[in-house]
Amino acid sequence: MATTTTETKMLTLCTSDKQQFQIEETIALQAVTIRNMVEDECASNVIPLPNVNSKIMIQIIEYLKKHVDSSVSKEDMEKFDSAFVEKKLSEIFDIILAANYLNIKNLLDICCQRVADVMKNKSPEWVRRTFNIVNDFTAEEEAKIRKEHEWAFEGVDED
Amino acid sequence: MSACDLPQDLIFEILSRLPVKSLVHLKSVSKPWLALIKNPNFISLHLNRTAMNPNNDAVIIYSLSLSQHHIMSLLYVNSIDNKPINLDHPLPQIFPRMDLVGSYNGIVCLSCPPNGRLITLLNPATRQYKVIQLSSTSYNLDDVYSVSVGFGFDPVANDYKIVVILHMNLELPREKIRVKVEVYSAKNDSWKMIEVETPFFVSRTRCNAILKGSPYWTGFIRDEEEVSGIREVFVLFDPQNEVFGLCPVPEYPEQVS
Repeated sequence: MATTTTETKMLTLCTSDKQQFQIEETIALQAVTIRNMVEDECASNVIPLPNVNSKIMIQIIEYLKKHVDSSVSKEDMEKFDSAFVEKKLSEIFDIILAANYLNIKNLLDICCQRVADVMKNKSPEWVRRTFNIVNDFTAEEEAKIRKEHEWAFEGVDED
Repeated sequence: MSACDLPQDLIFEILSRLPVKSLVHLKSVSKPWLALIKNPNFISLHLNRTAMNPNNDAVIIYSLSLSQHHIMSLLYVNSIDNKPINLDHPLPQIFPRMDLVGSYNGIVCLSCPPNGRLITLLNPATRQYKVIQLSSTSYNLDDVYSVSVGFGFDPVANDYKIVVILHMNLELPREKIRVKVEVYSAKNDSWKMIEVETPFFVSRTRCNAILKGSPYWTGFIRDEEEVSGIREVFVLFDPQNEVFGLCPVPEYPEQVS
């Protein structure tokens, strides 16, 4: 007996750690880099993503699955986004790199905003530690620049 | 991984979302960060992002000239405590009165009337200011009838400009209007004279409004068809092409007696 099924086109994504993810094409195409690869037909059935590992890929797929669903209200989508970025900063940095490589603008936006929100009232010392930055000012230079901008240190979290 | 693996453009993306106050205290993180925060491309990116943000705090500046005092404060409309923050006025209080010429993109222009001295550009968000050196052209002050200062922005060159309109002694309405104009470019940090095609007269010591980067004045031009010999117009300065434009004022209905 004949059945009618709508055929859903699937794509296979292969991450840096050689894990394969089968996902619907409509979901994957939200990533402009993947869309370009498919449109240019330079991708066979398996799309290699050497810059993304499976741990991050799982989270990105979670994000893309939610965002492809047009029945989700704007309010619910915002709730999803703010819950999605409630992660450790090290994870957010990984997602930023992947979102940048895959060219998923909204995801990049919300993750950069998350980092900015966390950083807003943090001390320069905290920022150096978190971003692994070497302080290349001499003690005098640093004291001078701090004194010039003393007012801006008001309300900065204690280190 | 740590964030040190983030390329420069992604650091740009993150920092461009920070409020100005955070950027000011983060200048002391490292020399590369200081350079980045001062980079003109970064400043433009930050400005555009802030301007596009619907939750952007509107900032209101008060400038009162109470005899010997200048009072300026900032009010972040969306902030929780909603209290205005008093700013130190950049200039000492020996100058009895300062005009708030206007503001654009958060940059405030001040000048000391009536001769348009001590023109100062102030960024209240970073609390930085610069007193602009005067042009090297010297005028005999006895010869100068009035001075008006305008402030504008050229979006193409990304340059702030100050216009000083000098009226040399004249007797309205029968005498010829004598106007000299000097334009200051913040980018070049220099003044130059520009030609005025149709002489106009403005009486206020500063422009009346700044719209889309152009300062506007209410003014007069000579018009023989008018009984008074003069006609009221709006005078605008186009900072990009450094030319003046004149537009008609609305026609008022004849007064009913």
